[in-house]
Amino acid sequence: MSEPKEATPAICRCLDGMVAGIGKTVAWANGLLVLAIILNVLLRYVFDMGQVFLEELQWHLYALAVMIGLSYSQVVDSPIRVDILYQKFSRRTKAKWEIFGILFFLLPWIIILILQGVDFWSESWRVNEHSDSPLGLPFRWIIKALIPISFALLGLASVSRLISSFAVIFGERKVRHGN
Amino acid sequence: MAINEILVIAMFLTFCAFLFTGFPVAYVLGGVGVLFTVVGYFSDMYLGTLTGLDYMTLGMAVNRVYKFMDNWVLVALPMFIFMGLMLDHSGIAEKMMKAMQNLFGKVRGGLAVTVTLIGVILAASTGIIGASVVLLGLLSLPAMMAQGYSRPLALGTIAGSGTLGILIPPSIMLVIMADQLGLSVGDLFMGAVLPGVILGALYIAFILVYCFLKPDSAPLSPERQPLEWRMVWEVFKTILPPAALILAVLGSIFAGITTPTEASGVGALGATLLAAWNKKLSFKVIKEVTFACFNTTAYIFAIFLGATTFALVLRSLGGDEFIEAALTGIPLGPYGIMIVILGAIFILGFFLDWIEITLIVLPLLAPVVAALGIRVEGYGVVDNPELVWFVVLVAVSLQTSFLTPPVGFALFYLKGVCPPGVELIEIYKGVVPFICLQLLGLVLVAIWPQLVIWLPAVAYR
Repeated sequence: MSEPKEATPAICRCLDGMVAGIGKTVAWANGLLVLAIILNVLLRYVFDMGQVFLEELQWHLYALAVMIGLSYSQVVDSPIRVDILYQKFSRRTKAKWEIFGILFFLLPWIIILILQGVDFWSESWRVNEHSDSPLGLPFRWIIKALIPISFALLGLASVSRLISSFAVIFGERKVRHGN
Repeated sequence: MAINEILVIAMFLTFCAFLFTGFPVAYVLGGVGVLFTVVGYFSDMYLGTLTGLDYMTLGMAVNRVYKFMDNWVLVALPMFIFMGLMLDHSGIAEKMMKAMQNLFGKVRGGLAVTVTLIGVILAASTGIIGASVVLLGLLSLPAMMAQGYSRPLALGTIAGSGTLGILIPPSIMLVIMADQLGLSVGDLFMGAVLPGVILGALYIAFILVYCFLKPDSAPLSPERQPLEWRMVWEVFKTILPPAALILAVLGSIFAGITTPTEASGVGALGATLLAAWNKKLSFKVIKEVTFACFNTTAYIFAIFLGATTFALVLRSLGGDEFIEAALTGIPLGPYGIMIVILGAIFILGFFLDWIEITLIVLPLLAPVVAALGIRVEGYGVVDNPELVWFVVLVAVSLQTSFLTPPVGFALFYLKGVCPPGVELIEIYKGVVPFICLQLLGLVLVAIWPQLVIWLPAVAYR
C-alpha cells in the first residue's frame, strides 16, 4: 500500500490485517501442494500405487490457495492494472476512479457470485456430495463453500479499499481547508 | 446491423474504456459482464433481442469458477511459479553470470552473450516478463556499463533476453493456453522449444556480428584472463544443476513419464533443493517465495474469474459468431486473416498483459483459426497441429509486442531498474534490432510450421 499510514482509517487497517492474516496462513497450502505431489509421484512410480484421494487433494489445495488468494492480492494491491494513464493521475483522481470501480463493477460482481455461490454450495450440501470416484475425498461441499467464502473475503477487502479511498478524498479536503 | 451486434461492440468498448481508468482488469471484466447481463435483460424485454440473459445465466459463472478450481492442468500453475521464484532466489543466476563472464572475457560482446544464455537457461524463472527483465537488469546492467558497453546494446540485450521466457518452456503462459484451447501441455512445450532456441541463437549471432563490426560498442574487460580449461569446467559446474533440473522437468513430461502437473511439483522441490545446495535457503526465503507465489497465482486467477464472467455474457449476446463472421469476412484469404489476427494480438500486447490476451482473446480466435483450413501436417501424432502452430506464433508475436516502443511492458520494467541517467530513448534504440530479429523468427515459424510441429511429432512417435 503506497498511502501513508496515518491516512488509512483504523477500520481499514483492521479489515486489511484480518484478510492478510488469513491469506498468509492459507498461503502455506502451496507448500503442502508440493508435498502432496511429491508423495503422489513417489507412491505411483516407486511403489506402483495410484492414490485417487491424493490427486484430488492436490486440486483441493490448489483451489484453496488461489481462491483465498484473491482477497490477499486485493489487500496488497497487486491486481494488474492498465497503468498508461493511471500512473499520471493524481492521488485524488485515482481514489475517485477506485470508488467508481468498486461501487459499479467490483461489488455487483462479488455480490452476484456470493449469492449464486451460496446456491451452488447448498445444492451440494443438501445431497452431501461426495467425489465422483468411490476412492476420492468425501464432503465435496467443503471445497464448493470456498466460492462464497473467498468472494466474501474479497468483498471485505474491497470495502476496506472503498473506505480508504474516501478517506483520501476527504482527508485532502480537510488539509485544503487548513484543518 | 442487428441490435445484439451493437451490444457486443458496446460491451467491448465499455471494457476498453474502463480499462484505461486503471481499475484492475479482472474486476472491470467481471463488472462489465454483470452490467451487460442487465443490459441484455432489458433489451430482451424492450428491443426484442433473444439473448436470454438474466440472473440465472449469471449462475453459470459460478459453475465456470468451479471448473477452474476442479482443474488438473492448472494445478501446475502455482507450482511452476513457485519453481521460478525459487530459482530467482537461489543465487544460480549470479553464479552463472560470474563463471560465464570469465569464460567469454576474450570474446567481444561476451557479456551480452552471457545475458542471452542466462535468459534462455533460466527461462523457467522468467515466465512472468517483469520478473525476468528485472532479474537480468539488476544482475548484468551494472557490469556491462562498467565495462563500457554501448548502452543501447546492453539495454536491448536485457529486454530481449528477458522476454524469451514467456516462450521457452516451462512457460506458464503455455500452460494456460493449453488449458484454454484444450491442447496438450506437452505438445505446446515441445513445439516452443525450437522457435525459442532459434530466437536465442539469432540474438547471439546478432550480438557477435554487431560487436565485431563496431568494436567500440563492447570493449573487452581489462581484467580478462587467458582462457583455461578450468573456466570451461567452472561454467559447466554452474550450468549443470539448473539445466539438469529444467531438463528433468521437461524431459519427464516429454517422455510421458509424468504429467505436467507432477513435473511442476517435482520442479518446485528441485528448485528448493538447488537453493539449499547454494546455501541460499532459509525460512525467510521460503516464506518470501511462498507468499509471492500465493499472490502471483491469485492475481492471475482473478483475471480467469473476471474473464469467464465476461466471456459467458459475451457469448450469450452472440459475440462468438459476430467475431467469427467479422474475421472470416476479411477478403484476404486464410494467410491474410492470420496476419490480421497476429497483428491485432501484437497491438493488444501494448495495453494488456499476456494473461488477459490468453484468457479473453485467444478462446475467441482459436475456432476462427481452426476453421481457416490452413493445413499443417501433424504426422498423425500431434492433435490439432494448426492450433499448436498458431499458439507458438501468438507467443512470439506477444513477446515482440512487449519489446516494442513506445509502450512495451519489458521496456518499462527495465527502466525501473536502470541506474539514474539511463534514458528511455536509449532503451528504445536498443530494442530495435531485437524487434527485427523477432519478426524474422516470426516469419520463419510462419513459413515453416514444421519448426513447431516436428519436435513433438518425432518425440511422441
